[in-house]
Amino acid sequence: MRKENEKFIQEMRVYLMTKGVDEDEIDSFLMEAEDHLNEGEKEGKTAADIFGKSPKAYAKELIASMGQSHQDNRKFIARLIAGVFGIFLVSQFIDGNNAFSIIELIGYPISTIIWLIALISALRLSSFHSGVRRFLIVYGITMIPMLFTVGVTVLHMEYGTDVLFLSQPVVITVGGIIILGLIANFTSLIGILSSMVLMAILFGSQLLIHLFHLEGFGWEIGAYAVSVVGLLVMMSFQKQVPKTVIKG
Amino acid sequence: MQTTQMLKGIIDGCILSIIQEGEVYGYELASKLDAYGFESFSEGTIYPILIRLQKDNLIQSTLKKSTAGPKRKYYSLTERGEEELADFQKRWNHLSTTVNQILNKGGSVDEERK
Repeated sequence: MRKENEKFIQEMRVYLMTKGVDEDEIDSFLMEAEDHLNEGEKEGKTAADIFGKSPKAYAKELIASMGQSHQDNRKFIARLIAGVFGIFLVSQFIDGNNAFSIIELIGYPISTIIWLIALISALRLSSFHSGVRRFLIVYGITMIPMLFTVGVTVLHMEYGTDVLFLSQPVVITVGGIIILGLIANFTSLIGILSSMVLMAILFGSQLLIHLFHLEGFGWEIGAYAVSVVGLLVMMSFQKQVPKTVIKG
Repeated sequence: MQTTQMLKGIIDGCILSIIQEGEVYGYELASKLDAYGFESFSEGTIYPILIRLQKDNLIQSTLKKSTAGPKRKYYSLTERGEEELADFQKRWNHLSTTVNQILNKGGSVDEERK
């Protein structure tokens, strides 16, 4: 398949997912769209020839006919929250932190929610844009939760008093179970292996910071951001592997 | 008025009629519309319509293996779709007769003026 067509399919999937369209309906449409693009390609037709010059306008037309499934949206958000929470706990374990202040206990869940809203908005708004514009949209939007998280960390360092103490084994067990649960969501060996590699990269970045004693908020927040973005990549990976490979 | 705007009200009936000729998949349906003369019609437009027609229970789809490899969705009419098509044909016949009468009358008025 031509690169431009592949890009159309992937961006359409992300856009429809962030708009809360039922996953089965997305799969069903994209199967037909892919077939249509392949057939059209033989006659020299591009994605723009088939689906019009504005993929976003086309997506909106599709959504209007599909109807949105809020239940499916909830499933997507629940998985994201679980993932972010799991990554947060494992990061705390790597950091050697097992005591939490009230500022952290209230601030980090709020920060997680802002991260989620920002990431979903960034994905939705940056769909069908490319180059500098796409970078600016994603960068601009993710700066908001990034600054909020830094704010929580600064407040905690200045005024935080630890009130909740968890033992290291508890932190790693809870975090580990959540992440393993997410990885087990994949139904194929390839999906499981790829998500494990991705997890290794995610926590690898944090382990490296810890091992090389790279101090400072910038490093910490950077590693946290890499983990959250990685989680989204992992979740969309299952969808990008052809169904036949997943089932096999 | 743009052709696409005029088409809005009648394209559903045309698609139902093509599907009635025999089971079709998306690309095939778009090619048939093109062959019948709807060249300016953007091919992708059929999918939102097909989704809507299926939601309204006028058409149904079955997955079949294609020669190209992956499975393909083939559409056929439901009983309700057959009824809707018959109704559409009646409405269209009435409409086209009326419109033709008005247009032809307009032509004769022009001639009288000359």
